[in-house]
Amino acid sequence: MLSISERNGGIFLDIEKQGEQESEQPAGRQVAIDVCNLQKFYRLGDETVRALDGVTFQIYEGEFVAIVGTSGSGKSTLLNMLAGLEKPTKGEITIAGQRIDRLKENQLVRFRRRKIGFIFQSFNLIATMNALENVAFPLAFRGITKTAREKKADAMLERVGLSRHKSHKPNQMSGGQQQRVGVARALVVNPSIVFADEPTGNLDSNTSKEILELMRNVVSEQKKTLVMVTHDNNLAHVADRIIHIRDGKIKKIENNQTTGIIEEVY
Amino acid sequence: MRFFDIIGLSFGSLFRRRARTILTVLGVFIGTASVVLMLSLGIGLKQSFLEMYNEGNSQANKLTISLSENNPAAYLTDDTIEELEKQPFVEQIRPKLIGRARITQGKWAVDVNILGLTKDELGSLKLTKGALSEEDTGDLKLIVGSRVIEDVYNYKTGEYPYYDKKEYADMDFFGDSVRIQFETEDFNVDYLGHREFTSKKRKPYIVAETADMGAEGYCYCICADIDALKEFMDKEYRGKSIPGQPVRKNGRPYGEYIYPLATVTVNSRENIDAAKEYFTENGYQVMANDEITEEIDKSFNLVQAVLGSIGAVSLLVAAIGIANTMTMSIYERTKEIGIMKVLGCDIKNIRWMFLAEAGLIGLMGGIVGVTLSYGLSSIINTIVGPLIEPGMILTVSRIPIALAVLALIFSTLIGMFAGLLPANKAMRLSPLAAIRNE
Repeated sequence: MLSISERNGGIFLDIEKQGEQESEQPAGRQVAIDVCNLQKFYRLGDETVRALDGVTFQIYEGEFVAIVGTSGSGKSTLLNMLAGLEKPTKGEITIAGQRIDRLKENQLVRFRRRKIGFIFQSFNLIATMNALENVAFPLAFRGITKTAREKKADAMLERVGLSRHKSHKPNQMSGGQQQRVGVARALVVNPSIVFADEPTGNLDSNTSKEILELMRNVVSEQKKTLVMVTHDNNLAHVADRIIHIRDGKIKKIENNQTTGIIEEVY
Repeated sequence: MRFFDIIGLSFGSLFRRRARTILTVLGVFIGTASVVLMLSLGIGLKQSFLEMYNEGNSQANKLTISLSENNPAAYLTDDTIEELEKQPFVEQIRPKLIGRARITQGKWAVDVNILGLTKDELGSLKLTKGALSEEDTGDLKLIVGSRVIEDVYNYKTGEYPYYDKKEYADMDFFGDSVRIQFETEDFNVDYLGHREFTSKKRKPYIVAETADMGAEGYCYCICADIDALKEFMDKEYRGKSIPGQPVRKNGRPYGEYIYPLATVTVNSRENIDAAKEYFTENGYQVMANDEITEEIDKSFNLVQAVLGSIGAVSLLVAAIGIANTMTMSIYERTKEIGIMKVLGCDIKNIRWMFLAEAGLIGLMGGIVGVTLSYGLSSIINTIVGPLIEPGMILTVSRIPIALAVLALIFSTLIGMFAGLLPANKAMRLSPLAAIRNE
């Protein structure tokens, strides 16, 4: 049953799917995200595009999972649905015991406000606000006072190493700095899950590594679950597990732990 | 989200697009100013007229009664008035006596009614010149109406400077050369210039001037104390009949004064109708102040509505401007709205953000508009007022505080209303806009 293959510089072990998956995880680990037979179809003229065609997986608390795939593979659609930005055509998504595919829009927004941090590819900072205000912004949606928000934002900026750039506007910062602000903004609300959509897509390779390192460190030290979408296999290998997606289906799931890399083929 | 955070964000985005905000605000302030000015004209005109009618007689619980037919039993004498005052709804009846006189000074003459008023009514007149001394000198102290001057004519040529040329005669009622004569024949008998006067030309004691309009048009008359007038007329007409006073069938006078009219103060407004009915049944003609007031009210409300709707058209145009600006603003900020939604901003907060923005445009326009209206209003009053009523300060445009406050509230609401559809659109925008990468 075991076969060894080399791909992308890594060694993958083929393993029987289902059942064994549970035993791979340390005992008592809670499921943070449970995805079951997720499907998303788009109608394009007369054609139906199957962006996601039956995806099932679980993400555990405190885990760093990378979703990897080429453009058009459906990875972004998957992330959007996990974050409740898009409605699935079919299937179930359970996050922290809540069926988010059944939520209405205002409930989804509340769910994101309470549970989710989001890191964007193009940073998406508010151009008119400085770094501190940008980080403090999502706290305003929670009705926190200005002084309290800025105190929290200040601490968060310090953590991402931008304490000297607090009053800089986005256009006065480099891409790397802007993404640090983005990371700080995602984490300042103390979310249980952080989603990152190609967080290094607009950065050069050195900066990408730094940002990735930062994300990984901050997330693991605060024990958050991190789900990152990327098309870059090398970057994905910082993650604990890597879900490979092609043509709307899971190709394989790599387990990137110290014991070695275990591959689940579908 | 906190209220001030929403307002702060809305202000921020308005400030970001300054030029556009200013232009939209411009539209609103023109709209607001036109509505406020139009309404202020309506209010000003109405109040000016009401004031002219009500001055010195301001309560609506007053009736003016006069004889409706020649019925000696109903003659308003001191005794009849005492009887009438016993009616439960009557608080007070103030008789009025009218004497006719001619006042001359050089070539100028004016034929005028001398109105005898009770002491309290005389004392309530607002004086524009001079004063009414309490001291009883035994003279007939007269208060000349401010508009008597309009009726002055040239004795020799028969010209009326005011009616012919809109000029005031240079007659000085307070001058030493003024003289007064009382009329001896009823001028209704022969109106064509043949008037008979007592031969004695007396120097009148004109002590003051009043611009009060009152119910009987005091400013066109000369007012005097009713008892002093009676005494004076007794002397003037010794043995002769007094014009305007009824006579017995045998042609002899009644020997006591019969008042042509009297003002009845009714004890409460509810009793007005009962009082009217009572006096009409007893042979008096009743003129109620509240009827005039109601008529003025009604006709000017119509004027106000018409003027207001003319102004409202420009406010409507401004509202469309706000809707347009908000739609543009939302198109531009599709991505920002998406980001806010991804970051967990409540969709209701998003709607409020845009409603606040639209409301702020309305409010700013309202503030500028109302301020401007106050300025324009005073300009209108100084320029247009004298054109309508020369010689009188007529406040044609008035902006009560309530109107200003209402205008601010209304302009804000108009703004929010105009922003309602765009704001709902913003609320429904997909958060996916934030994910798309340009």
